[in-house]
Amino acid sequence: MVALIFSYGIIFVVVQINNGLESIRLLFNSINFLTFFPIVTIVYFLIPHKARWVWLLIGSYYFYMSWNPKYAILIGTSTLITYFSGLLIEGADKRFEGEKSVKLKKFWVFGSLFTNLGILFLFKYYNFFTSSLTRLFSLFNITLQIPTFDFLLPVGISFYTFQALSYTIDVYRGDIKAEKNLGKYALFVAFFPQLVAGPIEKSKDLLYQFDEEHSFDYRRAKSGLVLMLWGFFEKMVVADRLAIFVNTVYNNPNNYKGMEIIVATIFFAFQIYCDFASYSDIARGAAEVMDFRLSTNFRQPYLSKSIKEFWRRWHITLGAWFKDYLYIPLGGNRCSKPRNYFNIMTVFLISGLWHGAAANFVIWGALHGAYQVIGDILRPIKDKAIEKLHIKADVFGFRVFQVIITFILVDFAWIFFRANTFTDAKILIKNMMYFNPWVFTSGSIYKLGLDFKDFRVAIIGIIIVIIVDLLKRNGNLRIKLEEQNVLFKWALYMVTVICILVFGMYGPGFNAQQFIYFQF
Amino acid sequence: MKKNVVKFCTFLIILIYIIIIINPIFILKTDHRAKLIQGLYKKDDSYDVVLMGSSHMAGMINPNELWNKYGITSFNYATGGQPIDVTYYLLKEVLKKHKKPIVVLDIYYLGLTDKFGQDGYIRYVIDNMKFSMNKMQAIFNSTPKDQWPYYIFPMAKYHTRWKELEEKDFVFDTESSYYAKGFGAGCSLYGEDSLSDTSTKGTSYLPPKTEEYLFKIIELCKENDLDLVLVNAPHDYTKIAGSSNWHEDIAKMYNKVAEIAKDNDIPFIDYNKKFDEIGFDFKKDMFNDGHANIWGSDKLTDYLGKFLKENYNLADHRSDKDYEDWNTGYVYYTQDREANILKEVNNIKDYVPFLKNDNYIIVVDCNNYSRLDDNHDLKETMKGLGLKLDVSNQKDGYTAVINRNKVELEEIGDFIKQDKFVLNDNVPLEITRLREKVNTHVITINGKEYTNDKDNLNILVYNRILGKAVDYIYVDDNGRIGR
Repeated sequence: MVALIFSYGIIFVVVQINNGLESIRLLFNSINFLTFFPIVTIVYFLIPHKARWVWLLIGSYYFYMSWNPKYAILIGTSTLITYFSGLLIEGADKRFEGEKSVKLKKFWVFGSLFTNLGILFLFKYYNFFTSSLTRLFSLFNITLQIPTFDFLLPVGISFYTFQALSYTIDVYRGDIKAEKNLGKYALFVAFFPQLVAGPIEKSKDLLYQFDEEHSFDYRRAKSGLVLMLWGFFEKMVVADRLAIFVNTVYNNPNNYKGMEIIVATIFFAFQIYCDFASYSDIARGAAEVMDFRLSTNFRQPYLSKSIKEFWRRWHITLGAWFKDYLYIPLGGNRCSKPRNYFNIMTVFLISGLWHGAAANFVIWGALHGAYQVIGDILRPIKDKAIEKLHIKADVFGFRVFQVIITFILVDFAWIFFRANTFTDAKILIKNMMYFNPWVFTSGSIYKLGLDFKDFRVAIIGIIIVIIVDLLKRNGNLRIKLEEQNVLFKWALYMVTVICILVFGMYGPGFNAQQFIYFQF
Repeated sequence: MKKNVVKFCTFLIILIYIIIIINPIFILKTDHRAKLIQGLYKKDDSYDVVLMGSSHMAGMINPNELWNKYGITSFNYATGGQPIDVTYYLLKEVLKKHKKPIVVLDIYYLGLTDKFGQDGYIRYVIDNMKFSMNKMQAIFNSTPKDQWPYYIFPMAKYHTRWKELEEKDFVFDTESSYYAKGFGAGCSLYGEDSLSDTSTKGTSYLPPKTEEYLFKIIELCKENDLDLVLVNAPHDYTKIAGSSNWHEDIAKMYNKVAEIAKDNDIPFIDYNKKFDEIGFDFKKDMFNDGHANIWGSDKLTDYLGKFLKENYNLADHRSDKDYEDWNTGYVYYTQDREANILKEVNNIKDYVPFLKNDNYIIVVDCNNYSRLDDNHDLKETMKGLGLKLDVSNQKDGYTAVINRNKVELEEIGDFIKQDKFVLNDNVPLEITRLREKVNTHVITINGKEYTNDKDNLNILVYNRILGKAVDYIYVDDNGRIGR
């Protein structure tokens, strides 16, 4: 048995080495990551404390370069700029006094912001910006010739840029001291569990952890693995299965109507949640195994009773970033109502842009901003109506009603987020207004990529996710699980692993056609 | 700490054990799987001869005929599309259990120019090998690197089959087909001549990979002191010519193989050059352009048997008590062969003569006798089975049972809803016609249920030795057979 495990291990290592760096993206749900992670972790705990950050740094850069080795230059540049800006800001604080110090500090912080956001703009927004500009000018019959920028969007650039910027700003504000060790700082920017899709950590929450002495703890490692396991379930069984249906409908919006679009849109709400939350869970779990604490990124978002609450539960670390570094500096809510509404709209428009360089994301952000502004304006009317109509607001039924309304609003906004173009979104919304619930009984809904059996698994998956979310409201599930008997726990873990292996969407796929030919 | 390590390892071992158990459930259950499990692991029979190669070999050399005519024991390990490199590792695995066989290798797949064979074909072999060094080597050398994990862990490839799993995926019967010893040939006639130019002179190269593995097989046989015989199955060279993944001039390539064989003192039987000698008629003895049919295989097998008998010291085991099972297997095989031939017949006139078999229970069943009564030709044909068919009745159903060539029951009367019989040799038989679905017949013999829903004359043929229905047909008014 040991020989078996060992030979599997050897094989995977050989595969990796032979494949070279470029072709083995270390996606969390890949065999490569399942090899990479244990190796990194085991070596991490075996080597002396002093050398550990070096090992993690090597691992993290290997992880990032597995997408494209050239990316290392970009992340390295951002790291160097923010590292030196940190030192310069602190230096300005120490060496100079009064106005000169403030001016210098401002110079360095804006320099860092400008260059980092400049890189981000160039890679992510330049083409969107120029094409929008060209379109705008074409309205006035002016033809613009702006060269396009043909680089693939580097994975995770939005995440690590924000994380690196938070460091510069924190140093500027004096919240933390500048990190002297370039290597440790580079590790903070590139720490592999959260490098490509968050959680976006603030420097004051993560940087110091690289100086701590971490030792292996069985219970904590187990807890981390359980979280990772749940992440794999969310991603492979639920999100990737729902994606098949969603892609069918959203990539051909003209072909579908009514219930087909409604189901696809509800599915997308759970697809993006499970996809994103799974990434955060695997990241947090992996970090936890190595004794690092990353922030919670999702807290049962679809159980929110208002949009405002939704944003306290959805992508929490991004929300916190915007709040700390944009919303509050703009004045937050300690200002006039119109100014506050302006601040909300600004934050959500930029948040929309952060998610992607396209008009749909801007509209998606605008919708969320508008939901909140309108909600705030209508609040007095709503309160009055509740009072006049004697509606009980603190009962279960009303809370369910609020959750459903919030979900509908959020899900409506997702249409813009997922649709390939703004025109597609309009078509989808128009075609959605069609009454055809018989697609379930006639079976035509099972022809959109998920047959009846897969559709059932998808629904069961969603139900499991909802149940887990409901259970999570009453405290930490993993702690409660830990209190159970070994037999129950082991059975649960094993059933989950086997469910993922059987029902997960992975592998090259089996095509019976390949086997039918020449049967005798 | 130590306790935790033990705990974690225990968990991991149990988990891996469970995964190892469920892995084979998902693997595709093909005939290839059944026979390789028999030939590699299940049976303790020793084989005088092992037959290796691709589908050409699988339908060419028949172990049962080798047994019946020459008392030679053999097993046919060939599987569809088996590349020669896979054959090499399969042979190594065969040699683990069978120490001194004569190795007969078909060389058709030497023509493959691709580095790797097709995924599905390779899986016929590798998926059905137990975890071993040979399997690992086969994976590393015969499959593309990016596919390795999916060969090592087949569930990753097949897990989407969860929605189509059937009973046989959980309990796969590898026993009942053993009598065939891995052989299987079609029972229809190709009807065309071979266009191969076998008189081509001169030689050509062998594709590098297949050449390497041909020499590896030669080397392996030398190391193990085994006799190797190369054969080239009858096939139409022109059909493969021009394929992008195949040698462009296989006639010359085969000449090269002949040279290699000569240099290494290995006999090479090129059947394509022996049609006259063995009386092989490509039109009638082939199933298609590349595979012999059952009658063709008789001739090819006979020739090989004679060759082996004359050139090697092979004992005749036919009267040896220890080999009694081979005789039983042969009886099974002959019944199965007749059943396969029966299933190819499409006209009732040609069909009836084939039904003269002591082992058959034949149930003739028709829920509207008038259909039969009005059809003079059909009636006359059916009388060939010894049926009387002399009662005129416009509405009701008709049932006849023929057991061991004797009519045991012939009934025209009220519409039968359900009738139970016990045949002369204690075989329980039950016939049910479901009134609510007038055309549905359910016939139960020995507890096995057979259903037909055609409003015609239905004939069920049950073979007592095989313990199963070998054919269930319906006959239309023109005597054409449908299944």
